[in-house]
Amino acid sequence: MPQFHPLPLRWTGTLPAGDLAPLNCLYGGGAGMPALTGAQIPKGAQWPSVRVNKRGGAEAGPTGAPWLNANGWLIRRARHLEPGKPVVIDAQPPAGARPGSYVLAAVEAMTYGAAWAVTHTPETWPGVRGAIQFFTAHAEWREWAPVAALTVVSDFTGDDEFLGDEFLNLLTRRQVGLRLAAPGNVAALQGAGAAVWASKKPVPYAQYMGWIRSGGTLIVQGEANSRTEGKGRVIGRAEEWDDVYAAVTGTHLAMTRRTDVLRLWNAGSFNSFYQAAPDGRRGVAHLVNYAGNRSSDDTSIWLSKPWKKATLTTLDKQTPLKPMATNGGIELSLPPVGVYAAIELEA
Amino acid sequence: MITRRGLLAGAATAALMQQRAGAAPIAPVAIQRCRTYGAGLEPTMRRLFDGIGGLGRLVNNKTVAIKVNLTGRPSQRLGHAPAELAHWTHPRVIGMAMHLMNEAGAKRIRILESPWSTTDPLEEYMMEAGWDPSLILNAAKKVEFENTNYLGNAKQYTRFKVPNGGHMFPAYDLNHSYADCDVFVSIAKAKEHATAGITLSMKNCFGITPCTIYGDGAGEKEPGLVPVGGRGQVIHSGARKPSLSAPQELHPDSPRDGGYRVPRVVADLNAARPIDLAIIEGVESMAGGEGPWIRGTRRCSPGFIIAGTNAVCTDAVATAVLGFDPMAMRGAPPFEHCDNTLALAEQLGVGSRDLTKIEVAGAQIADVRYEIRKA
Repeated sequence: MPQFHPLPLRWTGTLPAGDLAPLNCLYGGGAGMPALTGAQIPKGAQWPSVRVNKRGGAEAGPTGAPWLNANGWLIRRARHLEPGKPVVIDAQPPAGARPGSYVLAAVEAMTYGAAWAVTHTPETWPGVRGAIQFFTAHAEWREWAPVAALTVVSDFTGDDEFLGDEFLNLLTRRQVGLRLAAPGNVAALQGAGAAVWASKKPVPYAQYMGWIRSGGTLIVQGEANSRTEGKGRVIGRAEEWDDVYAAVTGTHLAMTRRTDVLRLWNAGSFNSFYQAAPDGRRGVAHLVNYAGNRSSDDTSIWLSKPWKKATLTTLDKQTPLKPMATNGGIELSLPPVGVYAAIELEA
Repeated sequence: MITRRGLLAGAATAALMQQRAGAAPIAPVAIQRCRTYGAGLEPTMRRLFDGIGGLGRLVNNKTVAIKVNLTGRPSQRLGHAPAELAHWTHPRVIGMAMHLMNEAGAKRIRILESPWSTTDPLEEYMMEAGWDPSLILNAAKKVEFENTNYLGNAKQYTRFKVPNGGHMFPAYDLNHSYADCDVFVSIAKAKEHATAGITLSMKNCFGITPCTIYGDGAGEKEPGLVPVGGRGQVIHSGARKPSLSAPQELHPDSPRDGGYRVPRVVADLNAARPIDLAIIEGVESMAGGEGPWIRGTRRCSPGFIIAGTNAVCTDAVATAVLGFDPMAMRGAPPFEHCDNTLALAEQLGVGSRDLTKIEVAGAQIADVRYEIRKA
């Protein structure tokens, strides 16, 4: 767990005027604050947004849901691979980026426990600062565990990089609660219901058999691998693992939506990240809106755990929500959500 | 654009079709007032089916296929309302119909729908919407689900020829499930429709066309393996052809207008695969269109259920209950921008829309009339 959480400003030369707290380091060679050190800066970070086609419309996938340029999966991979090293997202605004998208860049990174190397402009800084202060006040969330229905087993590097990354990206888009584990780390599956083998390495079945026989479900490529083992099973999917979209769809079917921990309605431009405190008494479901503005539709959310109390917390206010018991969990009707909302939960 | 010449030619074709089809059949229609999906639903639906002579004569020892109405994406709602309170048939109505069919001796009940742009099993699609499919699965003794938006469990599509020629296509290639049943039931939600004016038991069957053949992403020569998108290009606008493996349009020079094309395709489909039992649910619904993607739509509570063994008669009664004239032609509500599907189906000999000839059991039209345009 990182002791120091960097909040970097991307700057060269003399610092911009005004109060820069809580920023605490510089990225880019400026003077006047300590330089950013000791952080990992994953390659390939994107400016968070809904992907737009040449005609200016949202690009959509096969199901009609818009494609998102999102970094949540990248942050989660980085934190998994080097848990002791804080993560900084290096993404610069494109020309003409709206002020709200700067706030989106800040909240997206901090939702997943990282920080954005802030691009400072006088117009956008107040909003970005508010977002950083909000997450600084909720620093404990960084260490809460994800509420997961599935563990993605992969090296996430080398031969597994593409497969592992795409599994993370696409499963996140389907709002599947997930956690990450390295091949062979069977202990990481403790308490997990299902795991998917998103690795090019052969499955060491013998190593995983104890977990499977005690009730675990291991999802692998190749129909011929399907079998029951003790209280658990191996589900072999027919989809080619090289077609990761098909593989992820097949994985979600193998888990079945019955194991979903979170569902969203009227939230096509949202990704979610659902976490719980170690004692299970509190939780938070983050909603990040990549459209970067106030949602036009009334969003609803369902959580599989029957939380007693829920509060919608945005960057500037709190609204109590009325949990409605349904399908073993609760459903919450949300007011229009802007760039970001946290649903704070109490058991 | 519809020209005067086109109108005259259409009228002549309609007269010829009607002549070929002979007198349109007529069957009684039952109406019941129903305000909620609660405990009163069972006795209400029993009375409903008693009003059309009971279910036993229809389903005893038969395989029943039920096309439900789950239009649009499961992640889309009208405001915060669960889909079943706005644009989808309510699972309790589906479950209750199945329970009563089971009691009446149905041998097997298959739930069919062509969910949006996916080959996912129907159960998964329902769960994505927040439904618990076990409520439907446990409503009768032998229940199956099938996604009919692609080839599904069969080796080939089944060709359904349109009797008396057809308006748009001479025949349609459909999932096997619409042939592999003894009794075909449409359980629809009563709603207005942006393209067809109104959507009832017949329009529900628009969704029996697999998007692998009739969808925007259908294969050019052969059916696609997976359905991609809706039916906008092939059926609504006629901008592209269905897969060439399927029968092609009868009149490729006909208007490329959804208000012309969609009602004709719906009429064709209902002639090719007639509905044996039409159930129209308007307990809770929506006004202004068929789904939340239509601007200006809003929730409403019509408070009725209607059933009949002839889909045109049943839809005609439901049309009247919703405050419209089933005899209205293009230009009059709800057909301001489209042709009247009921008239087109009548021309094909599917059934009569003439309310003066249709016997209504249970509540009467005036008792439950709900002017949906005023909701």
